[in-house]
Amino acid sequence: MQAETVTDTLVETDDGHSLWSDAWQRLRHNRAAMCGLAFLGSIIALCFVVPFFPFLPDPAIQDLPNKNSMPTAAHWMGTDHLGRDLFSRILHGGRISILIGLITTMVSLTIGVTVGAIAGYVGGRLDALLMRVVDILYSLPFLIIVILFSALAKGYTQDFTVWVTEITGWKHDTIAPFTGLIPLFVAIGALSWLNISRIVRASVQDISQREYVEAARSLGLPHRRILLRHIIPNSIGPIVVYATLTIPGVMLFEATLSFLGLGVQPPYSSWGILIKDGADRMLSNPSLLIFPSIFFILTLLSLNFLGDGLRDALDPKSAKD
Amino acid sequence: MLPFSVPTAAHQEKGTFHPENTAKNTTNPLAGCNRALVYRALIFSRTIPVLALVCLLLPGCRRETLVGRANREGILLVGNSAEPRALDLQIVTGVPENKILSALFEGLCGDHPSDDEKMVPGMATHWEHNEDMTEWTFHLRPEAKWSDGAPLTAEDFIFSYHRMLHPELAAAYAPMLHSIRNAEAYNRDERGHILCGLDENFPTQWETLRKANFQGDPSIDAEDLANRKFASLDQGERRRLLAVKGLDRLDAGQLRAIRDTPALFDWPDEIPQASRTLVIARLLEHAEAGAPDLFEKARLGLDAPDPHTLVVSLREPVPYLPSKSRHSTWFPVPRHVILKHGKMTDRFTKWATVGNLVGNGPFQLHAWRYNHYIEVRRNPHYWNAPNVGLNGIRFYPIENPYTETRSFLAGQLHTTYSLPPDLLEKTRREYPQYLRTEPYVGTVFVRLNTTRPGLDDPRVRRALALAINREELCKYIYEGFTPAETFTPQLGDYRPPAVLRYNLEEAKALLAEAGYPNGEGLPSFALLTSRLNAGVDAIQATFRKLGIRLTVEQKDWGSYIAAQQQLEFDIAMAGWIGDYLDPTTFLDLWTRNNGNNNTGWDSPEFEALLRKAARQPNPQARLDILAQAEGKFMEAMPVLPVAWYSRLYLHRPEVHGWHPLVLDNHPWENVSLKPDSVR
Repeated sequence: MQAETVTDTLVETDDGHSLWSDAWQRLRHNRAAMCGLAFLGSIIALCFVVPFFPFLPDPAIQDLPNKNSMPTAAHWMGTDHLGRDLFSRILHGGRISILIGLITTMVSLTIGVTVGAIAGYVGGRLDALLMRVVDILYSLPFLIIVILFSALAKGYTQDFTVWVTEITGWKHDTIAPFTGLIPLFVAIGALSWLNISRIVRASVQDISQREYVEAARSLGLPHRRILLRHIIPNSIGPIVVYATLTIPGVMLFEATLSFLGLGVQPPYSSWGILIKDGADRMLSNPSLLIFPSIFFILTLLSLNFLGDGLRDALDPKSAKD
Repeated sequence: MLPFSVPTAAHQEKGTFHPENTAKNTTNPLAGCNRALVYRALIFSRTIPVLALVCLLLPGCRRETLVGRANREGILLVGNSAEPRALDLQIVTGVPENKILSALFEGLCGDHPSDDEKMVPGMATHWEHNEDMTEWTFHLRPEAKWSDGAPLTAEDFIFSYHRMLHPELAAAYAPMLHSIRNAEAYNRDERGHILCGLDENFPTQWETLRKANFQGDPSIDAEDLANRKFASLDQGERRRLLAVKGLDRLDAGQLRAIRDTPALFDWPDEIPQASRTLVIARLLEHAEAGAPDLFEKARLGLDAPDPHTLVVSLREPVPYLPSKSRHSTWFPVPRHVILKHGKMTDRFTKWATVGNLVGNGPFQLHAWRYNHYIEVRRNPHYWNAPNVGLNGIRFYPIENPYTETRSFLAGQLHTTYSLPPDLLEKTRREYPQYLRTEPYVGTVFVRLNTTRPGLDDPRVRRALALAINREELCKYIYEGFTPAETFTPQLGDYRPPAVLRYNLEEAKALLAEAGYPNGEGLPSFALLTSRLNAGVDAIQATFRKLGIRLTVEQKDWGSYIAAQQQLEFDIAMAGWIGDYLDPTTFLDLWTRNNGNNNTGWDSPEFEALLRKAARQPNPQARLDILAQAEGKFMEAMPVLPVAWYSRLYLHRPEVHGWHPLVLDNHPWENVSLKPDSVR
């Protein structure tokens, strides 16, 4: 009987020690990160769920006589210079901003981590080749490439939108703001992985000299397993931090592109556009600047807190104490 | 250790700093190792309040603003909305360019500083006209010079008008000069008209001869022939191609084919065989000579009996010619400089750049920092140089009117290009001393490309016009503007029919009648604009009410103009500001081939009415015919007028000699800065 109890406890302790469950335990004790996570979760829920409720006014409907109104029961954050409901515009714009931030960061992470890890792990000629490719891409003017790409893809996007409407039977208005962004996702994602690949490469080069990697190698583990099991999880800290910095950067970059007519087109909006418009009109109606900015800032802050917390949780050695 | 240093710091904060205090600290054995910390605490405790004080005081003892400095230097800082496309006055068409060009050049007559109707002497000291106002004699200043000191003579004017009208220059604004005798034929390269019609000895009169197909017949479909060699076509295809092109546009090979096989071309019966052969022979001779410039043969109504006299003969009476001659299209351009930098007809050569541009206006080009500013400085060779009030003008291309307004309020501009209408109320309340609201002869409209499927149906265009709620737009978006009742704004005694109104139901019915119920079946259109503003959103929302979706295409000023001139757009936000005080400045736009028409629309009936009006001597009867023409134009509705402009802008009180003008052409030479008069 006694012996059995001992084994039971042993098994239990063994079970609870995967990398991710450990990280989760540590993350749970980081109050700032948990607040950030909760806020992010709620803002995403708000942006993606609430617009489907009928009580929220259509963000494109103009009510000119009621323009620039103060917050009321009907318009929780007032109306803009064309009498459109600001709250509804912020939520609809948030969907686009968050999607752009997340998807492009995913794309850039996938490419960047793959390239960086291979270059750092394999080394030698392949490393030199990959890093020269990165150098060349660095020397290209980012903005111009994105503009070129989006302009080229524009015609195809419209066809694609029509095709999706025909296939799914959804309304054009529901899809158009998103399909119009696909070239943007691809273009930004495909060009913003350069930094992350360098960071990952450096970190992989460092880690692959460590004893546990030596040990794994001497045990005869295949390269893929060493990379995925040992090296990448151990370099997750800088990756996560960089990702949390990329998301807000991309959200701002989208505003620039939209201004150039390549991102989101009116009447659809994003936080970047709302803030740009609000900045123009801050003399006549400051709430057009303040409300979208609050959403934007809080999202970025919580992303940063979450990123810090994730780094600490995933890589306890780098924690501040 | 830590508690020790903190009270010291706190103590020092209150008292003055004495070196012996720290010396005393050093005597404390415990503080020895912590001296650096103490010092740091001391420094911080003293610098923070000082820094805070400096930060508080900084805005108080302000640095001199740009305007303050410009006042001292006598330089006017002008918000000018957009980076000019170029400074070649015969190519550009926009208001931002015109503002700069009117400082660099001067026409025959000058602008009066406070009255649009009055003319003051410019390059011409005085002028007279014959009885029916078809021949005007301008007496030029003998002392007139270019800004490089070269004398300016009547020949320079003739060269300028020659270049402006040269078909190869393809100046969009050339129709402004079409009232000169034979200018239109020359500008449109009507070879048959010039070579045969203007010849008094030609056996058949032009009135008869013109019935032949000189211009080409665009209604014939010949797209299949576009890329094929003439030699490879059979008889029928050749006939079709020749008819599409018209006699004026045929090359030597095609003319030779007609000479050899007369049956290839259809002639009206009243033209005798001899004349037909002669027409072909002359055109062929011209084509074989390499199509030389027809300026001499066209015998334009321009004559310089002596270097200081310019005689302009017109095809019809133009009582407002002096007013028209104040526009930039009538300005002279320097022959000696243009020919130095290329052929006469080359576009965008280096002649109109810093260091090369030579003008005859009160100012000369000093600096052009792309997307930053253009600066002009006094022209010492200007005839009235001693009376020019400013040392220079700086034009800032600030596209965003909100940014421009903020720049103005921060003391960086003397006068702005426009005030965003939604700031009108606030400005009226808080900065009444700066606000200017003045009448302005101009129209905000939406330009349609009538060659696009869907928009080629007048019913669709009328439906769009009916769907625009002008009263609402002028009340809430174009604040201070007047809802447009027709295209031409109120001008003197001109009373055009008020045709535009808002009726959404009728618009929907009309659209359904055209075969597009709720916009179904219409292709998707892009709305071209140079600036994303509330007007764009409003037009988008208006079209949406009809079920028509617009994507927005934003281009910078130069590309925006170019896209319209090449008809590479569907729908465009547009505006037109009158160039002189006559309705024709709005109506002439819509004639065929006018470089500012850009709708693809034209109507012979409309043009016949304009010609009829031009020949009508009675002023009121003339205006009535123009009103009829406007009615025809509004029936076809190739543009959707939205609002009539008001000029809203901010203006500093130290700028003198600046009076409200409906054409907004303030003569720069009369403007001066008197900062002392304000304080």
